[in-house]
Amino acid sequence: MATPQNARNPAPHSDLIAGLYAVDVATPLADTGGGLDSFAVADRHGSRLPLMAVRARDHAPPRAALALLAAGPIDYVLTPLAHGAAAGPDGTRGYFVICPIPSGPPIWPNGAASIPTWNERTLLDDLLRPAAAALTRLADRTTHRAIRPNNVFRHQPGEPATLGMAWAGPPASLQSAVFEPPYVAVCPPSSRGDGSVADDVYALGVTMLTMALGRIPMAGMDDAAIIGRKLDLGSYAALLGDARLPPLIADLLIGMLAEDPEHRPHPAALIDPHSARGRRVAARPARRAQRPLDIGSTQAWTLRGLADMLGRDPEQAARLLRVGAIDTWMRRNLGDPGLAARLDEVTRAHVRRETSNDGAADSLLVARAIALIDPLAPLWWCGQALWPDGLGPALAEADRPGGNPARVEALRTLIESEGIAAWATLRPDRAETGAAKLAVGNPRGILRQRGWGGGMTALRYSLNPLLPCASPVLAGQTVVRITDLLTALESAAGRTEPRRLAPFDAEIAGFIVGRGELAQLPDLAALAHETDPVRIGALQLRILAGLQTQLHAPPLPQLAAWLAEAASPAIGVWRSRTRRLRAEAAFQELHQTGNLLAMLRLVDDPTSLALDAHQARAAIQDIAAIDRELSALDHGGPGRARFARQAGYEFTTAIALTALTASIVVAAIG
Amino acid sequence: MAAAPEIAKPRSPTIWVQGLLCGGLVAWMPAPATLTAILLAPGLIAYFCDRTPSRAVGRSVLLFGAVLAPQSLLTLWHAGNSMAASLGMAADLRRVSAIWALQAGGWLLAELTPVLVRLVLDGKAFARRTQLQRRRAQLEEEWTLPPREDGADQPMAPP
Repeated sequence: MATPQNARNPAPHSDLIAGLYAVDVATPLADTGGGLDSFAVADRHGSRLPLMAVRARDHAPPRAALALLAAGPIDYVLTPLAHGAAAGPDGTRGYFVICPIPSGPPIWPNGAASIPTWNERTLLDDLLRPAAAALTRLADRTTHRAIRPNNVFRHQPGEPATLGMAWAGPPASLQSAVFEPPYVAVCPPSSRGDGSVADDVYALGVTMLTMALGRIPMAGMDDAAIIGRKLDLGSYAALLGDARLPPLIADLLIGMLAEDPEHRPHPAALIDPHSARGRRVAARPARRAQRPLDIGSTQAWTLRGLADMLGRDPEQAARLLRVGAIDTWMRRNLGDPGLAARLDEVTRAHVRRETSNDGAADSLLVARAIALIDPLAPLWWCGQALWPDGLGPALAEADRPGGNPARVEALRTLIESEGIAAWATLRPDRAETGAAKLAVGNPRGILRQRGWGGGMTALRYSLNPLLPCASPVLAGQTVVRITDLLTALESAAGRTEPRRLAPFDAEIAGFIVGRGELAQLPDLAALAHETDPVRIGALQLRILAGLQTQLHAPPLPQLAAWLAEAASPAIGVWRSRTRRLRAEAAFQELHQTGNLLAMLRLVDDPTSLALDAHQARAAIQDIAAIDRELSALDHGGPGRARFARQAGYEFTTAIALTALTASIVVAAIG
Repeated sequence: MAAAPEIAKPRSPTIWVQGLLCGGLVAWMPAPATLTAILLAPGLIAYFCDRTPSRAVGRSVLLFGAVLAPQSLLTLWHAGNSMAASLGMAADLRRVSAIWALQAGGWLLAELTPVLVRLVLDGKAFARRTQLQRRRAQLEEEWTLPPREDGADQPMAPP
């Protein structure tokens, strides 16, 4: 199975997912993909199990929980078998999740306005028990977050239902507001996070209610109205309305639709509905104020409503908090002086710490206030709600071409100001937020990393392990795993369009960092600010050569040729003409072999470069010495003439004296 | 800058002593002095005409003339050291021409030797310059360095 665990083993065949499954894009399947496109799959091992491939949408990466599901199939849920890239119906490559085809149609036919109601026994035997069993086993690994009537399948009446596909998109991203708790539904679809099993229990409860009523509850209402009604009345009352249910079902649903996730029964308890019925935890009804608090054109009567309104308008909320209007309202109209005092204390502490009044500071204050006012509420930031474990998909959705730059900026300030930690600190008994899980990845550290070694791009890939690389160089390819990157670059190098671009860009850099290949971090950081083409070529080559070595990638001759074009200026750094010519010849020879590391050694050999520089300096000194000597020779004519005259005279004198001495000696001897 | 005009050096007192001694010698031994003057006449003329500070040419010519002078003076001494003998020997053309030829050879040698030495030195300089220029061209090519700028890398005129 192609999971991040074995992602270093590249798939043996590019068109087969995990080397086994061929997606038959000519055979689309209806109503099986849980809201996503699905296609028939041919198992090359000849398995008789009918399979389907569900295609993930662009910028909505499959769930990272796919890795956790590799442990084995779970009854009554479409457990994924594999996932990977393959050719899609439109010719471009896409990312698919392989899982069995549901054994029957969805329990709610697509497009139906109503269906015959299910009786109590059918609800319990066909839906609740198998779904609770599935959720119980699933709870050890992850959550489902896609339980709704058109994504629950049953072969025929009397047979247990199966929970459908929930893995090819962000968690709960395809759920309508009816089937999610109001505190989840209030978040944009991409920001809902994995949540907890209690959220699955809630969705199962709404699904049961739907089947019991034979109609979709709150049909025809928009999301805001649904959420507002649930917050005002409580989910059970809001969803049920005036309808009546069998007593057992009603008791179960009161627990399953509790506002507080901790009050909902665990799915293991729901396997025995009669027992679960008695374990219901009574929730205290929301306290209603004597007079409402006016926030703009809206009025808050309860703490839930107040938290929701504060979150939607952080500027106004921060102003009201700073002037003490909210804690005053709590004391006078809500009768909760304890909460008012805590809120006042938090506000004063915030004002002491935060000197600025910009949007981030306002949002931080509002997030802290909401954590106190309504601990069940999600994190509100810059007017939008999210659960911290939904940060990754939220970033993938916003930070893309045609995305939402304002949202990206808001998420950046959220991370930089450590808003998640500040919010989570004030609700320590709520562990389902995913804040602790997010802190492990150190998003702030990634964001603060200089150059291409960090930033929002790297964070986007870090928080979304299955988000394909969005580099224009890799257009038309789906690169999710780091092992596929070099192969995809090799393929891109063989085509004309990508060759017009640089072989390396910020998206690829962020992808490398996001996939945990941190050995290249210093080079990636340096590459962003480098303007010297010589250094840029060498750095690109060094990064990709490092990857080729670490991942034991095969030879990449086309990529090597592409990099050779970019890195050829780096050959010019050799001062010695002999070495330069030799390196050029070797470079040409090596890029044909596709060995990036050997190419790198030619352009990035500090010892030889130092020797070359040393010899160049020595050559310059030699030249200077030669010039001095030549100059001395040029100007040495008079000196030589003087010396020649002097030496000539001395020589002549010496000969004369020698002869004279000899003559005197001869004369003396006689 | 124009050269400063040479200031005539005051004559050394030794010149007067030398003159006095020569005058004394001539007065005391006129015959050898006469013979010496005749035999060394080219050298004396060269010495007094030599305007170089060291008078190296004149000195060399005199020294070369002095090589054969002792034998003539010894002969004069054995012949009685008379003026007649002195004049007789001075009239000996063979003797005079030999000594004068020797002095001429000395003059020639004194004039040619500096030229020869200069030729040798300039030859060595030319060879060294050629060697340096070749080495410089190699370094320029190997390390992509600029050529010499002052135009002095033009080949030096052979000596």
